[in-house]
Amino acid sequence: MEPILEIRGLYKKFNGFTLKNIDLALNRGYIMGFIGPNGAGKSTTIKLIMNLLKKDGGQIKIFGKDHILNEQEIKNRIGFVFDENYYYEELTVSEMKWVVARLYQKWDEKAYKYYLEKFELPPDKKIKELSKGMKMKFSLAIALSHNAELLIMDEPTSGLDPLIRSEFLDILSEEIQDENKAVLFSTHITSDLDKIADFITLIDDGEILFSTMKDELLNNYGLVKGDKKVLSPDFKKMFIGLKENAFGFEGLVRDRKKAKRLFPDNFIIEKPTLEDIMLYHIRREKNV
Amino acid sequence: MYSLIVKDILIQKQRMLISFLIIILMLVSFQGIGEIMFTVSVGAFTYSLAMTACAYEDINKSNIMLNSLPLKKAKTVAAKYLSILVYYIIGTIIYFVCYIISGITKIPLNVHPLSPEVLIGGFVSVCLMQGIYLPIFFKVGYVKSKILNFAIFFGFFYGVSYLITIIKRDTNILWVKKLVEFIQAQSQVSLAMIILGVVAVFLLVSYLLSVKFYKQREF
Repeated sequence: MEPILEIRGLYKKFNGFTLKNIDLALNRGYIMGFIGPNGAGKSTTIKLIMNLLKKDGGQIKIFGKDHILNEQEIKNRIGFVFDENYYYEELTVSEMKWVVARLYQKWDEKAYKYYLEKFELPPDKKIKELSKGMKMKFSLAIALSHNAELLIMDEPTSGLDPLIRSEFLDILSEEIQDENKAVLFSTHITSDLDKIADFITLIDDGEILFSTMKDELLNNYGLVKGDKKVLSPDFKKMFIGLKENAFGFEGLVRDRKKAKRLFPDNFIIEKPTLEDIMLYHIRREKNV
Repeated sequence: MYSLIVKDILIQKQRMLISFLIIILMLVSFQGIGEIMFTVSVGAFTYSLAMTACAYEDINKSNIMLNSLPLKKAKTVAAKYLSILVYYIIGTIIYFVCYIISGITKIPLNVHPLSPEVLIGGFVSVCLMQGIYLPIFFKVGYVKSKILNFAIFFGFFYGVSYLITIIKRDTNILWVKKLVEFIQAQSQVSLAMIILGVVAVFLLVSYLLSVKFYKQREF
């Protein structure tokens, strides 16, 4: 089956930052966590997908179609939630909905009313009077009310307190149970993805470091801890990233089973978190 | 496109009252100015609303949202141009209401009556002013175009009155002479048609430039 989102050789040069020939594929039925530190290129990639920035090279296909040649048709089928509110603060929730609803071909008023009630959004309140969490819920309600097949979310949870963040993720995982839909969810808060992501794509300094199934990552990678006195140069070569201090070391290896076979018994080998995997990958040159 | 025009009015509901007061202030300040009273007051009203609508686009960073919607850039641009016509109509209605009220109540406020010449003059001024400004707005946004925007506003009013003075005073200059002769040779209707035709072409060029600039912009 054709990917719902396919990026090939995407290139964009800025003064001081370059997005280097990004390749990415997202299939229907999956949630892809797009992770990386601030300034890694997540938002740039998303803005290029949405044609908010002009690409310098490469190809972006959404629903199998060129994202610029078929821009209106594609955007009718995309729901977006950005890192901050870009809706008009002076309008009320229902006024803003009225403006947006008229622009979508498949606007579903029934679904909107359902989410409005579910998220307890006050229709007569001005958007500027809503809390950040409520603004995000409003964005999500709009994104879920026009039969979008692809949801694109650029750091939707950044700046939300842990409680609201958890609530937002619960809503999202509950609503996205459709095999025909897909989500691209960018974040630097990797714990957001523990519950909801199927795929993890890591970007750093404008380059994709990996794009793999989340379970595969967590099942294969290993976090190794031990006494640094027994850390030979040959052992060091096995690490993706390594952190040493006065007491010992901690490092990430790609193959946990292999590490268990080869490393001494006094090394502790654990299952890493997504955050460990991200941090050791982006610090690899510093640490190995 | 209709929803974008309504949106521009909705985001400045409260501002409408201030703009309404601008018309009253202009009527009071420009007593005895003659038929330019309409152009100045409705021009200022339209200018105020058009600028506020543009400012809100930048304040809300709404270009990111607008360009993520299934909306052609040409339509976003067209909505801004059509909004100006809407403001002009609202301004004209307010002006007309002021004229009626001043006539009925006999308050010492002399509101110049409306006529086709006055209406066309006001419309042309509004179109020229916004036709110059909007391509700049679509190229660089509101904040960066702010200084230029003031220059256009004051340059326009002083420029037009300077031009009228030249035409009246230096009737011996060849192009002025020819222009005056040409204007005098036309009937009222054909002159109005020529002026509106020129403005229409000017607006079309302005619109096409705005679309070109907006399509090139990155957000």
